[in-house]
Amino acid sequence: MNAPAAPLSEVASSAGEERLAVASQLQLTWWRFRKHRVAVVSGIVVILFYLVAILADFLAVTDPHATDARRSYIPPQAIHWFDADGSFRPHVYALVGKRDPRTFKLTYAPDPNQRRYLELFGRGYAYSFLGLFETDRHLLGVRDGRPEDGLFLLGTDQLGRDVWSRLMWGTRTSLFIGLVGVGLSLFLGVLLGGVSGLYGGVVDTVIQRLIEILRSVPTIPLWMGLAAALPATWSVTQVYFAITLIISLIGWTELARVVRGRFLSLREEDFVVAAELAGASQMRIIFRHMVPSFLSHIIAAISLALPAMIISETTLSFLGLGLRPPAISWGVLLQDAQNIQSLGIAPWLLIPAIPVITVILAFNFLGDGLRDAADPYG
Amino acid sequence: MAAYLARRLLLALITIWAISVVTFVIIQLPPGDFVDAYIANLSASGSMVSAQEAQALRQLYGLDQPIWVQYLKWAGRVVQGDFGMSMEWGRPVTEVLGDRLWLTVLISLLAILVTWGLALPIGIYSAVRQYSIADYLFTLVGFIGIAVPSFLLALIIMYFGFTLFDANIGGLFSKEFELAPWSWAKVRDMLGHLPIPVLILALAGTAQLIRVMRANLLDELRKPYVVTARARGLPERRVILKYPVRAALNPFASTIGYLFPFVVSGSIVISLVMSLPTVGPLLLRALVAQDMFLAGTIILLLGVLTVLGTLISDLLLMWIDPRVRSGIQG
Amino acid sequence: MAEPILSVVDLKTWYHPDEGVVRAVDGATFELFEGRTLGIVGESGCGKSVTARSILRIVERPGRIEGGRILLRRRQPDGSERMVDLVGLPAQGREMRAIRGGEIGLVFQEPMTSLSAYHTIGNQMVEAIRLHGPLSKAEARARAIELLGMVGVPRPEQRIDAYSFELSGGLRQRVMIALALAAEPRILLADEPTTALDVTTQAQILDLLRRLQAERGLAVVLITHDMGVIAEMADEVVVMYLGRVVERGPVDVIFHEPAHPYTRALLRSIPSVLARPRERLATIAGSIPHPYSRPRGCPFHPRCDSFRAGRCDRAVPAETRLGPRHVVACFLHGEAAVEGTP
Repeated sequence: MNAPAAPLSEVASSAGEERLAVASQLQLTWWRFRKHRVAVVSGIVVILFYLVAILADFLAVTDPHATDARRSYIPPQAIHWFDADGSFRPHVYALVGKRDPRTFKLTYAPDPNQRRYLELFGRGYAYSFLGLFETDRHLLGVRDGRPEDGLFLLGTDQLGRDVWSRLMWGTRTSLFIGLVGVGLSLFLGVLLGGVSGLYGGVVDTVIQRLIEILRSVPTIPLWMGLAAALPATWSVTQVYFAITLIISLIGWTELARVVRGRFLSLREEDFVVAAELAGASQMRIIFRHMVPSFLSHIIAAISLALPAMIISETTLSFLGLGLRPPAISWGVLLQDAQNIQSLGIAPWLLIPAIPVITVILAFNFLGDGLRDAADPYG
Repeated sequence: MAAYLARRLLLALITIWAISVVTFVIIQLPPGDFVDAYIANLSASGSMVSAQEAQALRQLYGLDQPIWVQYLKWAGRVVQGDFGMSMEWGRPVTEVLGDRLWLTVLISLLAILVTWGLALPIGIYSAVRQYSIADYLFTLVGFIGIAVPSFLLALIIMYFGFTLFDANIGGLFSKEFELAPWSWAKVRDMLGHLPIPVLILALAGTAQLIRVMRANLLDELRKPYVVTARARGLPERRVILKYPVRAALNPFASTIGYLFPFVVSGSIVISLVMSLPTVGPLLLRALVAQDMFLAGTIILLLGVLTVLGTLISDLLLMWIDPRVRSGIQG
Repeated sequence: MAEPILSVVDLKTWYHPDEGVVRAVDGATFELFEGRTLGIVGESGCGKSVTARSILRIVERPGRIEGGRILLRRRQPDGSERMVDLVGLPAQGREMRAIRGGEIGLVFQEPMTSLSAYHTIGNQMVEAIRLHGPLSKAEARARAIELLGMVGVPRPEQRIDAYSFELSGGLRQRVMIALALAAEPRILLADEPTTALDVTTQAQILDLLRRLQAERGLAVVLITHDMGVIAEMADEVVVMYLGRVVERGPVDVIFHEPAHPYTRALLRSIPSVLARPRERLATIAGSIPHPYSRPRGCPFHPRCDSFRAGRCDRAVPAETRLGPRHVVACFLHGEAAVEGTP
């Protein structure tokens, strides 16, 4: 009579019910989230990206700001894993520059007879590790030599700067600008969305109209206008925060919409009404009862807002209106690839597009998974 | 219905006003006033401006008066169609803009039409054949469309056009037509250049709308009226197309309000990468050169056009939704 | 008695979601006669609605009819009649589509959402009328107005151009009935037709159904969880529990000599005017099990007050005939078990 699967699921569901009885909203979301395989993998990808961002200096090989006209447009090097005798000794071929007799252009060719062996934790430029201590050790180095002389995994740009090292630094900038931007948006969104949903009435109407207005304006020209107005004399840090501010000034509306919606629906919920009747204070109701019940929605909304922030920064910097050199971000890196002629000479300058697309995809999958987990019926 | 109409109109007016204020602020933001910049510009080209002339100019633009008077004067001139002078070009802004504004509108409208034309059937297919191979495929393409910023997509396509076909697919006109006056030959030439930028511009929006349509339709397919329509003996295709698709169309149509600003934004960026003769490159150049009247005008006009587009789509929506029409909602 | 117009024999409709199998209908048998009302009663989730959908062959994925027969006595163009097994017909085929609406009409429980909000009532009615008959648009419209008048919609010539959200719940349900009868079917499946309505409107709709039945000799399948509605309307009653028919018989027998413990429990839970003040209404112990964790043996045994250990939790009782048309599936009345159970 029983379906083959029934006894199994019976056991699982009774065990599950006991756990459900004591699970918080966040735990429930987490359990549901774990079932989305793609979202979990994406979450791991995102974490790896942030690890890269934190360890950018350690992962970089050479100083990303150091220019050298003699190293202009070196193509990416292939890593050879085994030595001639078959032993495992990763190495790259040394590059020999030759000037084309007709065009006078300097081209580089690998010389299989000169090998540079790679080593872990090799010496490179000096930096401060996480602000804790000074060191010159990097993940990769060249044995008996300086990496500047011959280790360019992803090639170099026109000014001879190592694309790999710049990519590590760009990852740091772009990912953290996303975080700071979302932080600011979140503050504005929760504040205005919360006020809107909680108090309703005229305040709600005004804030809703404000959101409608902001959403009906094309953002890019507006950003361009605001970003272009930043004084050219400002330091990299000042520009960084100004750009973040500009992006989040327009980016908070979606978060506000989510928060308001949650507040509106929760206000009528039995447990909130019950808390009110029990005489709990407004603050206590908000922070003890309401916020925990939609925290997972906020987390989902954040993970969908982050990629939008990253795209915004990248686009602005790409146009030359966002972060400006010497700052390094994905957008700044891609700006070098803007010119189709230089792309023809050095197609590897387009490589930073790969992490941009990867991280945005990962964030989207992660956000979708989180949203489904937070609101399985919504 | 009249109340709804009035509310929409009022909101559009407020939005346009807000855009004008922001535009004015942007124009004012660079250090020094317009006349300083104008004088600097003129002296760079060799001609001198006397102090009296400068003073006259300042009075003309009301620069010696409080900021809100300046705003009102500026707004008054704008309403009459006087957008000021472009410093860099030394000509009125309207002249500099020329056809570029209309080309921007054309490309944006085409992109929106393509977005709808693609998203609607694909969204319906994905919902009706949920979890089919094609559904997964479209979902994947959709995710890529969302994840690849439009400028990157344009860049990558330009690169492949360059390396694989040795063709520069940028621009809207062939060399011989670039400066030629409008003619049928020029229009035909432009139509040949349009598809790639329009498709690039449409992709991100299409990807989003497919998801919207798919999700809406999946919701609608579960509703009882679909069951009763089937129970009346209608063929399945007619059941789906007449009832749930019709219902799912409404939230779908309301996304056009967000689609418009999105596409206009995208057109600016893509135009820069693909050097299309829209207002995009002009805006960037004006901003870099701090040619603020030109930049401000472009921002203002793009904003106003977007608001008008959104307003029209709202009215359209009202017209197709019997519930809004009879005043049940909003 | 005459031959039944519809007989359902051992119908099995199972759902196959990723998590396992849900046997929504698992061996339902009953007969429907012209001019009479068959009430199907049971708690929510017992398979009543899935039975209705199975008859119309509109079970949605991941559901599937796994076995059994649905025999319909069908009118032929020459006036003769022929038995058709609906389970054997292609669900999207021409014949099945002609039967849907043409032979069997459906009234659904949610008058709010059973009509399209984007099309006028007339639009939906004219469509249904013309689908099953050779009428012109104008003729179909006249027919639709006539039908609306027949189901008691006031000012039908104006209401025909209204949208569903412009009507009250009761009017909407009347429109639904008119729509179900648009192509003059001989069978009407009414799935909880009055559940979403207030009491007065409920009574009006039930009156309407009775009148239509008398006027047109309709065979009505009335699906409800409300024993009161059954008592008022049904000639025959089918009691379902977790996809199985536990008892069926004439309405008087079911109400006066209920044989199955579940039927008895259902009857005890009807509020009575004769009850003493402050007397507690009887409830059925426990709750309906989760569809994935269906009990072994008789599905009702965990909640049954006559439960016999070692028997009821091991085997599924087969149907035992107690009277000419009274059948029960319970070990209290016979030891026969369904084949294939231990």
